[in-house]
Amino acid sequence: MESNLIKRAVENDPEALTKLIDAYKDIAYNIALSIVHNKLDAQDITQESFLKVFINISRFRNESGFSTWLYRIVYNESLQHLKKMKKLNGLDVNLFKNEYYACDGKNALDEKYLQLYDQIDKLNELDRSLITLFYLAEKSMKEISSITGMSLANIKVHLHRIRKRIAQNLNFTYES
Amino acid sequence: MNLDEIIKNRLRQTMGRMEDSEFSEKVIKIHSDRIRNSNLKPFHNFGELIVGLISVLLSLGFILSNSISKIEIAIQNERPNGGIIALLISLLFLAYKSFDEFLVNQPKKISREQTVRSN
Repeated sequence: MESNLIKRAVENDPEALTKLIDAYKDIAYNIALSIVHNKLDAQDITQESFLKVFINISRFRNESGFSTWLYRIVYNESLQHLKKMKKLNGLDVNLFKNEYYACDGKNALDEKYLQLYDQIDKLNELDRSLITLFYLAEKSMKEISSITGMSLANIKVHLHRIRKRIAQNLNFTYES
Repeated sequence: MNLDEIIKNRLRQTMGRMEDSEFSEKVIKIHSDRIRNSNLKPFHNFGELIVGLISVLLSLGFILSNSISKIEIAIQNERPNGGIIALLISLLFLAYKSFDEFLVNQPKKISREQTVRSN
């Protein structure tokens, strides 16, 4: 199914391109958002990542899966953007914290949700992107390693620490 | 429910959504524009064109200087004319690159039906 879409995307079939975008745009956007902390920037990064993918799609060899390839580009673009922002403006990315994980009114009232977001919000960019890739994108540790360039052992350690920290702060019993 | 499921469910329920409803259309339009613009370029690899043209000019210069020296020393037909060979190689290179560019610039297989659907 997906390989057929990719074949058609190589031929610039707009319908196939639309289907690929619709299938992955939200997760890609969340990966970018988890790193850059700004909705508009995350949207721009997602857009530019899709454009990069489409212009190079004829070279795609299906070795790592389309989404893994896309998310790797989103991840790298987001890190580059973050570096540029910090370098150019000396901007504190924490300014945008309130924009992250904006939830609707119903969920916002839920104290437990707020506590969890608060915990996630306290994580650094790397840890946030790791949990986004692991829980939202449902990528395996091996795939996350391919996306981020981190070693498998390093990812395991990071995810373990994140879970442990969140569990401690939420008074949740966590066993690895 | 374990911690993994709690985190996963809560993140999924409140994950950020792309607010731009025309995001897909925008991306496809920009992508199509970029392809169209790249097709309008006479040479995709401008560096190769420059190398080809410089080779032709050098070959011509070599032929010219060679023929002048031949007249001066009067040793015509005693050694092969390397300039002509270099010129031929340069012209062949340019012709090959032009053919290559022609193939790259061929319009992609986008049917009218697909274009209408995208609009």
